[in-house]
Amino acid sequence: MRPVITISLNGNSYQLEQGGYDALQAYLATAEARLADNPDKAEVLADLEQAIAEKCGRFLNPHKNVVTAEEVEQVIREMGPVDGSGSGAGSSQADGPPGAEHPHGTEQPAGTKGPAGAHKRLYQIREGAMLSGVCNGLAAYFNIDVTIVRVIFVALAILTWGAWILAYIVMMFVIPYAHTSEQHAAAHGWQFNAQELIDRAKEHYAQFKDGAQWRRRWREQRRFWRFQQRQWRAQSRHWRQWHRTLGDPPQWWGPHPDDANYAAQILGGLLIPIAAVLGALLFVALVLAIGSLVTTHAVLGWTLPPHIPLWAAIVILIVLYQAVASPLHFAHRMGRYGPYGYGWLALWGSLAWTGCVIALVWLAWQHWPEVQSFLEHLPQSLHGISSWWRQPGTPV
Amino acid sequence: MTPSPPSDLASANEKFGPIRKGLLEFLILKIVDADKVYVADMLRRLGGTEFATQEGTLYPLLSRMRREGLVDYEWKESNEGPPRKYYELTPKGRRHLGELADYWNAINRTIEGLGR
Repeated sequence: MRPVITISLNGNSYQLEQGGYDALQAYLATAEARLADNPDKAEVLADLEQAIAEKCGRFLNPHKNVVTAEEVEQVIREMGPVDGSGSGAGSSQADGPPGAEHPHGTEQPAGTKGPAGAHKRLYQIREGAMLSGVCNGLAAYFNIDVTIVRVIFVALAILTWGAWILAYIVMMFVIPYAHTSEQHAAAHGWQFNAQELIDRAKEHYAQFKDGAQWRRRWREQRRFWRFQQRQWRAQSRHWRQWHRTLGDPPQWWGPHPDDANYAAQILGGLLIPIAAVLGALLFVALVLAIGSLVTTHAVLGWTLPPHIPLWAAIVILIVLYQAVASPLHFAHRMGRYGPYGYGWLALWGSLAWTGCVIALVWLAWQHWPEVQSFLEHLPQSLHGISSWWRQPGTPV
Repeated sequence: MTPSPPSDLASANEKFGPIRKGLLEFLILKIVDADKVYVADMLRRLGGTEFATQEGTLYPLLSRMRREGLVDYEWKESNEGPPRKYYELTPKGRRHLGELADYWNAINRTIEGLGR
């Protein structure tokens, strides 16, 4: 009788004999140490785990559900030593399985892992969020309890007579969401490494014992990734265009290659409200211009020449509006569907847009006598437009 | 697994070890250029040749080649297991393959031409 250990390799569960488990553990630890300098370490390790899993699967059948120690040894021999240099050319690195004893299944508390190489970033974390995840992300970033952050936020909102709520909304748009495991790790400043991956996978395994359920989850996840990837590609195309016209993109957080993406996400977040405000301004200008054309046959002191019919002037105005507004809408869409393609954010965009239109109309009505008189005469004007519409060609 | 060549070839096999390893990238580019493949395909194609290799070598090599923009992959569903990464050449990879092939031909001509 030999003890058996259940492990999760890249999301699938396997039962290994104790000896095989130890050998595999040592192999993966060595692999991890050798890949320490590889920026794609997590990915390569996931690939290796996948390959090991497939090889182990070969030894299993409906009547045999445990991989023996000998079989694990054979799998490891077939895998071959992990080439840390990735050059394919002569690499003779010292064998050194670091720290063979790991605290299995225990999540490392944030901040206890060495800061070296851990790339800490401010993200919004949606899991366990009250509103959007801003406080959650800040709590993870500063490694303090989320309740403290929330209390501080509420206190600030009261102290600043609500102005802090605006700051919160800005942060909601500006701070990117943590989607991937790497980003979650970066949000907490954890090292994203294979041991953690395995530990986390082991924990998750408990929740996904049913293979069918797991596969469904995996498929969903992948669909999401693919969707995200498409969006990223579209966005990076935009970026390249911007790059050509605007020069270098802003580099706010140092020269890490991810920063371009991170900056792009932030810029996308900024574009939404700006594009919304500009779009609203333009729309109000269009409505005012059409109104003034219909009522006075003049726009901004330019009188409609008698040989141009009213409808043609309105069409010209709308075409002009489209020409000016379409890049804005484009930017708006880019910001909206760029890094976060979520329905609720689109809703936010339209809410912001509507709010801006209302605010602008109200301001104009307050401070601009012409607008006030125009709005007061709006019912008559509308009547005028409708009667003009029924008899095209006849000036109102 | 590395095939064990006949004993008279063993020393040559050992001497050319670094060269074989150095040629691996070139061969992977050739394989990927011919067809969209995943890692097990590559191992199968190299297996039984002098260049037989293992996952432990191939995955780090592919990750570096991808970082250098020579290859890229896409996930594809498979019938008998989880989805797989299928690799393909990028335009840069194709150019690089052309350069390596030219260089390799030049080396061959040199070797052929020497000692005649």
